Amino acid sequence: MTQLNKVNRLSLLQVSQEGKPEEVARRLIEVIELGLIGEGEQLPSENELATRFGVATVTLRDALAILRQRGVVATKRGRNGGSFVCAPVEVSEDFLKARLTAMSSLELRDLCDEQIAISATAAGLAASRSSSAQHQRLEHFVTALQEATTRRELRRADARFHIEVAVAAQSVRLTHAEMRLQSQIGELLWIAMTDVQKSTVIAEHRAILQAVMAGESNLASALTEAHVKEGIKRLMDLRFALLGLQEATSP
Amino acid sequence: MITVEQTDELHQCTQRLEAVLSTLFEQLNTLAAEVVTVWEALDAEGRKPTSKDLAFLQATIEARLLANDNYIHGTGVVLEPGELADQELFLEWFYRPSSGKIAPMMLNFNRQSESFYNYQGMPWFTRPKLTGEASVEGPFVDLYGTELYILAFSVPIFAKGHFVGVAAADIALHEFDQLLTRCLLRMKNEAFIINGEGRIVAANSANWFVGNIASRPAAARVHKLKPLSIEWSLVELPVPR
Repeated sequence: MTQLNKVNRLSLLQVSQEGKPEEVARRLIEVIELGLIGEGEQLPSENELATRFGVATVTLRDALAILRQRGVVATKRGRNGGSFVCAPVEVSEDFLKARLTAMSSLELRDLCDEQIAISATAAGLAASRSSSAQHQRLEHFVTALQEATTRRELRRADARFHIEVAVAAQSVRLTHAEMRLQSQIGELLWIAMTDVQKSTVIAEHRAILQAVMAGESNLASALTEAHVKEGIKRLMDLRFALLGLQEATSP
Repeated sequence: MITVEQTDELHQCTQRLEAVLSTLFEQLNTLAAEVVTVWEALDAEGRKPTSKDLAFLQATIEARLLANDNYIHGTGVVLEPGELADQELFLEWFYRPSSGKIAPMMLNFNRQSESFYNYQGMPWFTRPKLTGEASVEGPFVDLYGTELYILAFSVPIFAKGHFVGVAAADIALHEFDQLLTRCLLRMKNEAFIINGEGRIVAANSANWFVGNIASRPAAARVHKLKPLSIEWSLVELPVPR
């Protein structure tokens, strides 16, 4: 029998290693990256954001300060003041590779488990609940993925497809969960992607869409599960390769 | 066999639901009428309205959002492009964020931006424009505005016969549900409300999930709710709940 001491049990509650303001800042950057808050748009008020993230206003102000420092938002004072989104920030591939390398195998597997729980369920429900207008939206994001060239565009179209599946499932909670998941791993999924791999992802999205349109719940769900696993496996392979390189060059 | 009592229940439930809907649309029509008054006055002066001429609506909108029995998440007017001298796309819209304080809705009207919010293609705007009648869009998960499961109620605004825009309200279904469910619970049989696409808006039995597309048994009694333009129906099944 495994003996868990109190500290170990509590460590399950620990979600993130980074500080609160950094975490809020990262999540805001991700919402902006997904294009859900666009260039020139105003962020919700400090109070509203603090409530939404479940943090103190002080923490949120610190997060906004980080965003200003990185040039993601600019703050105007006065009656019509507030924080506005600046022109896009491009994160370097090296930075993302470093982030992936720092993750653990367990973390990636756990993300895979959670994403299957959320995305595959959403796809199954979307097959029975979505309207033809929603099929068109999904179709739009499959086409957007085909036409995307930069990592930002690819990542956005990919994430939006999965988020729209959850929207088509008519579930507010699954939509929120999918948005959070996409902001956590979405960007990593498009590091060092080859054309062949890109075509595979597009084909998988198209197959999921067809199952959703045909009202085939079980198929939509199974296809999504396989698609999620493929993505995470690729990340695991990439991480092993990167770690292997580091190991080979270290004394 | 349908008994007199059942007919009476259905009748009562329908009346209550229609009263709820009618109150909502009356409020929107009041908002629309206020815009028409200003448009006609400015037209008499020979001046084209600007966004500033809509600022007076704030008082009416805030009063509505502060009302006690409130299930309105956000409301206001949305203008047809070309109506204002100073803005192409414009809305005078306020909402209640979770923090409680009423705030103006800011949307991205920059055409170059990827998240450009082009309401000209949205059903809650186009449908009243095309039909000239009241409309309800949804329920749908609103990813952009409010992040809730939303019903969008809207009525067209016509000044001297031409389309000016719409007066609209976002209703959060989780709040509106209370009202609809209470009406439905007056029925002894299983009953639900469906929208034009066949989606369940509210139900009085756990056999019918909100948001599902309803497969309608042949024996169900279907009663269209007024205003008919919203395409909502009350469906009663020959099964006690």
